[in-house]
Amino acid sequence: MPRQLNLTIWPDLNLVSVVRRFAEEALEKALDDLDAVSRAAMAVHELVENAAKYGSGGAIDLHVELEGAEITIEVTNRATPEAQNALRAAFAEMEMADSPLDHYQALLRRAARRTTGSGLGLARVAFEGEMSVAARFDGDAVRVRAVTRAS
Amino acid sequence: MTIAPIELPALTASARLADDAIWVTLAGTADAHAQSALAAFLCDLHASATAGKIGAVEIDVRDLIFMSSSCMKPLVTWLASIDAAEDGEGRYSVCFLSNPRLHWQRRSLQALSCFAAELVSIQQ
Repeated sequence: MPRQLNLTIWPDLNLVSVVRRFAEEALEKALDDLDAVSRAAMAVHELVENAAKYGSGGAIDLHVELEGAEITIEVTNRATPEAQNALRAAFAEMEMADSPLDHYQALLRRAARRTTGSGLGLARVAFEGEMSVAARFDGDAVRVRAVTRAS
Repeated sequence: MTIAPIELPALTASARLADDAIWVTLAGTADAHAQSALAAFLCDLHASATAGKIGAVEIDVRDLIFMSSSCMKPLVTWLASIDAAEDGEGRYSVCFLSNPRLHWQRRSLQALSCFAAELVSIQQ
């Protein structure tokens, strides 16, 4: 039976680190692989922070599931059409890259020149988190799903 | 040397000059709230290192529990500034003193070091 953690929070950047710590401590109770715990906690932080920064308000739903060695993290929130299009573009660029490493390094170089934002969160989840990342759009709702494995 | 410290509830940063190097300590959590403060701190740091013709910056992150991508941006901008400088004009080595128990540091600092591989090193 998969183990699940479900959390609904209001969109507040002050809560992102709180949520990360909670998820990390919960995962530490369930997994021996502390590297996987760290990767998953990082992904929780990045995805929830993105939802708080770029969502259009309303609740942010976090779902963390452990089934065997597989760790799934899903964050669902509401987003404007503009924000959804920006997210689609980010995923399209990620899919076109030769590798998560190449994509991440390109974004790091770009981040040095950007005046606002970093654009790094999703790429960090993919590369540093060693996760497959995908988004689903349903009306004004966006769900970002990241999956990885513990050893 | 004037580098105003960061004294946020979640993040602190300080710098001191010793032996032709600037020693920086970052501690706590560097998330979206700290982005502006970290950017200003690193800007002051680079200006001071350049003016003082400093040879090295040692940055102790052993107590930096987590850093989000929001704060990786100012770090990346800072490293890019160093890498773009000419010798003797704001170009100095950077050494991160890291904590092996904080797994995220190994991955993130390695990625950052790729920015200026000749200048950046990581110690545990």
